Amino acid sequence: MKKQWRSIEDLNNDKRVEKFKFREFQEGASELNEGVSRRDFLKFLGSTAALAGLSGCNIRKPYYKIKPYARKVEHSVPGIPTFYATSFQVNSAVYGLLAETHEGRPTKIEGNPTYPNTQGSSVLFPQSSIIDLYDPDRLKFPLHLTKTGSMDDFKDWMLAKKRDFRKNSGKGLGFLLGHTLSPSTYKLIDSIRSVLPQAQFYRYEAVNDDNRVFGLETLTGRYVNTKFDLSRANVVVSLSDDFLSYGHHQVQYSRDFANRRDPDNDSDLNRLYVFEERYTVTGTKADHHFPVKQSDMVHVLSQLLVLISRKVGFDLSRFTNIKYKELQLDFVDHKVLSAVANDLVSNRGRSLVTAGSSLDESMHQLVFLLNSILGNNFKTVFYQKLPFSNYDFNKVRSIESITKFISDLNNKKLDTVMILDGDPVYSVPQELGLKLALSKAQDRIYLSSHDNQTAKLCNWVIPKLHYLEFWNDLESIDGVVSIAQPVIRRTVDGLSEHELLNLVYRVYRSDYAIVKKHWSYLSSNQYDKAIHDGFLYTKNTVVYPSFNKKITVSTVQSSSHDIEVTLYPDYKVFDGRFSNNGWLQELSDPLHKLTWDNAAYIAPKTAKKLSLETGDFVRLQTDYASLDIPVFISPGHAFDSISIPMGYGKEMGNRIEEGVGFNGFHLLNKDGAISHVTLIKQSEKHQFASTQDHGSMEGRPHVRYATVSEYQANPEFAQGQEEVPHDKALWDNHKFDTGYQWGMVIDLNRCLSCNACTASCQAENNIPIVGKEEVLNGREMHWNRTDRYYEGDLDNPKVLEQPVSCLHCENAPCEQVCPVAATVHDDEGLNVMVYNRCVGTRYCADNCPVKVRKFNFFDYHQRHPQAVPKKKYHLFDYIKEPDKSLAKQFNPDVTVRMRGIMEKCTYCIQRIKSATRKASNEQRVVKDVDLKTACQQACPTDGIAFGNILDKDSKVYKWRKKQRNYSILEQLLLGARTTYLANVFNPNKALVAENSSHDKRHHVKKESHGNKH
Amino acid sequence: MSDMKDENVELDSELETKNFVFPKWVNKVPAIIAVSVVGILMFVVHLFWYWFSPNHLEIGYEPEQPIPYSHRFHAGELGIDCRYCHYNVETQAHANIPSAELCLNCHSQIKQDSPYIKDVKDHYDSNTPIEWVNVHMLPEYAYFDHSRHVNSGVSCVQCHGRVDQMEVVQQVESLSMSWCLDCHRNPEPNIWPKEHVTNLSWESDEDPLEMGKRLVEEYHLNPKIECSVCHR
Repeated sequence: MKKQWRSIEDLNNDKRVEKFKFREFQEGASELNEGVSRRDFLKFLGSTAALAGLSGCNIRKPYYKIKPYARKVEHSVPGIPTFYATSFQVNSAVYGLLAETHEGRPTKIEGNPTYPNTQGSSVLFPQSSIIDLYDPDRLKFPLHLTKTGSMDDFKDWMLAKKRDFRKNSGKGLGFLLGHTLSPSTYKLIDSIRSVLPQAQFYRYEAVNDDNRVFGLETLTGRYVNTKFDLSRANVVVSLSDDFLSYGHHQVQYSRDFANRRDPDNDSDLNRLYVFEERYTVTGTKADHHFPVKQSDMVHVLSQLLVLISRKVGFDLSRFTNIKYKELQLDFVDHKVLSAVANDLVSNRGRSLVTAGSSLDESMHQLVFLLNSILGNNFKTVFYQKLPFSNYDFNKVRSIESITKFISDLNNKKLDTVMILDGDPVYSVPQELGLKLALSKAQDRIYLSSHDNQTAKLCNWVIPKLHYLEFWNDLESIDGVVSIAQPVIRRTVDGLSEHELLNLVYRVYRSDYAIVKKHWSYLSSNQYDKAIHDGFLYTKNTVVYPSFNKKITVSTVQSSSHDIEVTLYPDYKVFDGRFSNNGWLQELSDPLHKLTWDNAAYIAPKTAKKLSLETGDFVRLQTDYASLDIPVFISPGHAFDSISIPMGYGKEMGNRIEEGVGFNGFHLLNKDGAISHVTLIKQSEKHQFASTQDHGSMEGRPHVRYATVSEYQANPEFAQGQEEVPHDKALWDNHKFDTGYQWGMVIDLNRCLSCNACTASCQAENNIPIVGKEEVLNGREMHWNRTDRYYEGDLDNPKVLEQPVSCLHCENAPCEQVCPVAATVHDDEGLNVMVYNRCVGTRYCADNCPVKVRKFNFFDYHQRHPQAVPKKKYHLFDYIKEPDKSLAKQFNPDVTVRMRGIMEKCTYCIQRIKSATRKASNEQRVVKDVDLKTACQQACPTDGIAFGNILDKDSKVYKWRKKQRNYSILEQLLLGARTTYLANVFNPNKALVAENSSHDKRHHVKKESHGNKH
Repeated sequence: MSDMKDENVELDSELETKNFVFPKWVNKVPAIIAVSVVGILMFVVHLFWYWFSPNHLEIGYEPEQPIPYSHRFHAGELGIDCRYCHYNVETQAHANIPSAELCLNCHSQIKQDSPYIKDVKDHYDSNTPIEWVNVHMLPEYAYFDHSRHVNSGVSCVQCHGRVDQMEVVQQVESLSMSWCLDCHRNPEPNIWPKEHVTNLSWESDEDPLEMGKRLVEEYHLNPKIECSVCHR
């Protein structure tokens, strides 16, 4: 087996990584390193013990009150969560969700099983959005001239304004919207326009599909976006399109894609070719990954087009001006392209080609052409009419709209502006000068959840409600119309977008009245059903556009060795809208495992050329702006290219986002692009908190994979990769052959490392965040992590992923060393952690071979950046406590752990117990349908099976019987209950010989050192 | 001591050569020390063994409630079933405390002029909860499920005592972990037929132990003593 490595330091056997390999706890990890040494601590301890006697006078247990409802609330049963269907919009995506509430307090978000196309799965953003509701940094009251005002004042003020608007029929009134998908918002816009015909509407969204939409609009005359049928596509070619990581279709795409990656399904495996400038989540699932600079992408596509049209005898010159040209890129030459072309041609009508929305318009037109030539259009690639594309402001590009907004401000055409979404001062290209222009308007009203850069420039800032606090309706691009209900009374004195728009032209109406009015034609039964189900109906939005134009591609050659900089929406904070979310900040990014930061990602070869190391600051200098940002070396990145995640580096940050990362938006020019960047190395260094070397398991064959042909030749390839000793384990093994025996199987083929499982686990199990310094100490608390391994060539390695949480070993090494029996086995095969018995010796974590035990070095809930000092009742109350509002998110069925104890994955024992107790009360046994762990429920690809391994009908039983099933570290005779299904890739035979990462042999030779390049 | 002082002044020179002799009572000091050490040890042992044990700290806890609701009268004399008010006990982990609304089911007709009923009515009208004081408390890391026990034939009386005879509710069992485990290890004496679990005064015609054995078999009871049963 080839060496699988986690980072470049790991590949080179760097000293720093050795530390993480050999020590569970880092040097000094057990020290209080903040002013108080261990000796001081003992002194304090002595004196507190002496004083403790005084506080012990009242040893009677605490005096608790029980407060039952005065009037019984329908459906609310104490201790039993109630689920309400709702919908959540992020950018252009709409997620159908269920909000779990405990006595009216939302604690967890799940996918809505009845919502079309998602089958109850959800992804990272909805999972993490729950903590935003309780964010103590949210604006609580309206701000008037940066001072706290009241909502009544604002309404009075608007009353006077409204009269002015009427008088001059809305002249000088401008609205800046985000991506709006609410039918009743558009209804309000119509009403405003009928009353105030001169009012102007603009839109801005930093992340958008404008290139694709307007590219296709120019070509076909219709406002459409693409939708793929991945379940039918045998060959998928992605040109820098990360379709598995965000967007409205993410859940469906993930599911369809994963179903076609299952070698045990009837249909053949699909094959994915990815050409991209940086490794994306989609790229990690590719059978063939080619790093290509974004500026070279047009050459790749046009040559592919030329080759294919030659093969099928298509006259390209009628449609476009591209010509044949010998192509010689770093990883792509004509041999590669003709292999891809052959594959596409032999799968005509069953393949699809897609281009990322950051590529320019002509690329999307060429992709349309290519899909037509291949006969994929309307077979695997569909075109959906954009909702609300008949509105004028949706008919111009986002960047043009904001440019017009700014020029209207500068030309004094606007005197009152209302900003309804986003943080435009932060995300609009600075070269456009929004800051200065805004100050020219007389009144600036801003609807925002947080006090941010834009808020500082506005005279009225109205708190924006969280999506769980107001009534809304949404129409997704799939045509699914839903009515989104709130699940909690407003926690801030704010307004919804509807209410604010309504105030502009008439008296205050509540969000409920507005939404209800819009859907007044529905009978009350239909309305209630729509709320209950989470959606109303599904419109057919598929249209059949055709060419009406020739595609002109500018054939300007960029000088190939210029540094190219691309900006992309972050996997965690997106465009910055989630940047005050601690869960997301602490999550490890899927590729670089970076927490609490962003970086300029750069290829190892380019870094070497420029003599840069990870952590070195560089200055990216353009004609109009410059940005100092540290680089992070990213294997598999395209050469001479830098990619930066957006959404970080907020200037006036709230407590979580304060000082985190660097703002890539600075580099945008007035066209919203980045051009002509010069790179200057700086002398400063930056420390990254990347978890890529944490929890190392020492290069053993954890992730096992084969190609389809190897799998067919030897279906049991995953077995026997480790030498299993003949000697029996030290102990007599328990039989575990009756009752429930819980087990989990994770299909590596289906894992996209989207992190939804980790976020779901965090919400379900009250897992704290620890902050950047503690992550650097290796003390992150996540019960579930996704390991990412590189394999092969440093410049274009293969990426392998593996989610790891407690394996619940039947013969658990941790249990054997616990001096107080705080971690023991129960009869259902669970390795249980008894918190109240644990004394914190940490032997168990030292002895854990998979490094999944997490120790609460501090009470991280108290050390949360948003913690508040506790009220003093007695001597020990000098400590802080979690902010009251954050504590409301806690799952009442899970203990909130104190400091000084060990914790780890419990297989969601609270869910197991509630399912088994319910079943035994009903005199039956638990089946698969009764029980899902939090990670399993969140998984968009259905890649986790959990259940009773003795139950022959259970999915986990069937998966454990699969030949791909293997157990990691089987040489330790762990008897792990969590096993894995090995990866199967489907590479193109024509390319295998040269793509060295696939010439894998089954017989393991322990390599003492990795293959150095 | 004062005498000694006076002599000291006079016999200053004589005492110079005299050695100091311990008084006789000092001989008893080792014995006194030994006895008191043993005493203190016994006291400490007693302190922890008895005073700090749940048997002492928990049993007999009888806090005053905001409204002097009498279980003796309602459950005992009137014979209202436990489940009329605590209606979730058979299906949920928590046996709920009833809402003020439920009290008014009857008291909207009966005894309306009582000041306590007026208080209940006020709570209902203002939609504010009555703040009952928690009597039976488990630590927060112990997760108890009422429905599992009631459905297994564990009567209310086993843990809560004869509530139907209590004017003010009092804790009668220690609810300690060892007390839980005693029954989980040996459930037979505490299992009743399911249909009688809320009839606190019920007495079996047959031998209780024999009946327990029969019912354990009949109800497929297998009470566990694993940590994960209560702690998670």
